[in-house]
Amino acid sequence: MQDYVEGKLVKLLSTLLLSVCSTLAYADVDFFAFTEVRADHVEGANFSAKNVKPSATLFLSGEFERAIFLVEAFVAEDVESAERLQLGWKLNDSTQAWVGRYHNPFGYYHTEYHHGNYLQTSIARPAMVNFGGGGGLVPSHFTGALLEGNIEQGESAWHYTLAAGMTSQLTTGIDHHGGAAGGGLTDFDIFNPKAGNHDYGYTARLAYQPNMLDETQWGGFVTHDTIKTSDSPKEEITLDVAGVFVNYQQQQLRLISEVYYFYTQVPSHHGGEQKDDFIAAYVQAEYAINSSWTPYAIYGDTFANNGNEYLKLLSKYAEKTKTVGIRWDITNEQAFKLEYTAREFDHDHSGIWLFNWTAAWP
Amino acid sequence: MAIKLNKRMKLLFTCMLAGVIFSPASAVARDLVVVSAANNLNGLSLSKFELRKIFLGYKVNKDGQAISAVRNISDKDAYQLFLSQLIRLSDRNYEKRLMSKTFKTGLANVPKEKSLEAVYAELQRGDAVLSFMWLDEAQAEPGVSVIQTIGEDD
Repeated sequence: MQDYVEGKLVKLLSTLLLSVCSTLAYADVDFFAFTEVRADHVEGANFSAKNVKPSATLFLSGEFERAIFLVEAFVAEDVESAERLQLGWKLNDSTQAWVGRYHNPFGYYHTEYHHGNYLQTSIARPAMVNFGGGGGLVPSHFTGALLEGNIEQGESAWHYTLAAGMTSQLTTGIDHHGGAAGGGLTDFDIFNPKAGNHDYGYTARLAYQPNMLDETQWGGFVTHDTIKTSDSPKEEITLDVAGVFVNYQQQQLRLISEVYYFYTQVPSHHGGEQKDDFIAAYVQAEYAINSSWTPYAIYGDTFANNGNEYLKLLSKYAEKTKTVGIRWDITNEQAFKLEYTAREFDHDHSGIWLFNWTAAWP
Repeated sequence: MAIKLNKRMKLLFTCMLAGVIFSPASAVARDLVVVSAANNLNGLSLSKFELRKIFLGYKVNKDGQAISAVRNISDKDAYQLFLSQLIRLSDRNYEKRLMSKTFKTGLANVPKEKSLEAVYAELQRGDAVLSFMWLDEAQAEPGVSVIQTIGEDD
């Protein structure tokens, strides 16, 4: 039965993609490509060619009257994935409804930045808003339906988002160094759907911009996710998160901060379940000295998290991080970045150096 | 004490004086204007906020018309004046803002054209499309009307 449903889903998606391609000739289309070459070095570990990783993000979006579509693909040496694949309809000039695979719209950083590393100031994302596979705490993508819109009031605007869809599966692991064997959240793969491994979640988000043409904004969100684990598909983790966020920009200075409250219900191998809560937060500060040089710092921490079973399963999550870095924009489309992060895991700590070249095309 | 100038020095001063008089810097200041080729936009009045909003890729509706924009990057000086007087962002930050918005929302970017002929063509193509150019360039093209002034070069 599951194979039948998956086959149907692939056929449906293929048909939709063909439809999109056939309308491309008439649509208002935008195409971007972002490339990155990243080198990482974990203190105490050997450095080899494997630590240098090229990758590319390809993005295509378009409008055809009221119909809209968006495709974002990520390609690296060992992975190709459709990060976002959305088909939508503009209900009016300020409201869009989408179906497909999209970024779970929680918080600030995760809604602002996707895989185009060039667009974000730092190389690594703050740990708590990392992608699921990198140790992030909240499912990165949903596959389902999304409604988003703006309510303008003079020069200010409210932005609302409602999302519901299939959420992540938690793949368990034992590595505490952030290596490939570490546990993390694996999102629903639209081209390799294993619907039985995923359950449902929903998110509601509201943000306010005092001037809709400026970057400053603040807001809050709630998300509820039911997460199956690779160990025992019948047992499910329930994750409830409520968070607030702010992005403040004043000329050269920019401050980003987010605080999330987590309530977790994790089934125990001995029966019953652990009901627990904790808080995670970060603050990021940037200062653009001129149009080329931007130093930045990020501090992230996790509070009241002793013995939390959900965090124990996410072995790639660094509970405390201190990052300093600098970004050098060499042209309007290319930048070099260098940063160092001191990381504290559940039972371990390590420092990591990151250096990258990122570019936006065309 | 009288200063005596030989013939070569006199020639040099004459050339320098002519250079100052006829240099581009002393030419008449040019107005940078917002333009349209749509008949139904004649007499349109937009605030600076609305204009900035349009050129940052947001739709503005006026009298039932959804107004969009095309960027004219054919003249570097005109583009710099447009950025400083209207957008209030550097070229780099403006590009990044537009790219981020499209990457985040999937909604159309503000297209840019490298030649004045292409800008004229885009203006003619759309029902309610705005762009910007020097006043004399707008006056030279039949069918293009001035909506309002952004500023003037020094």
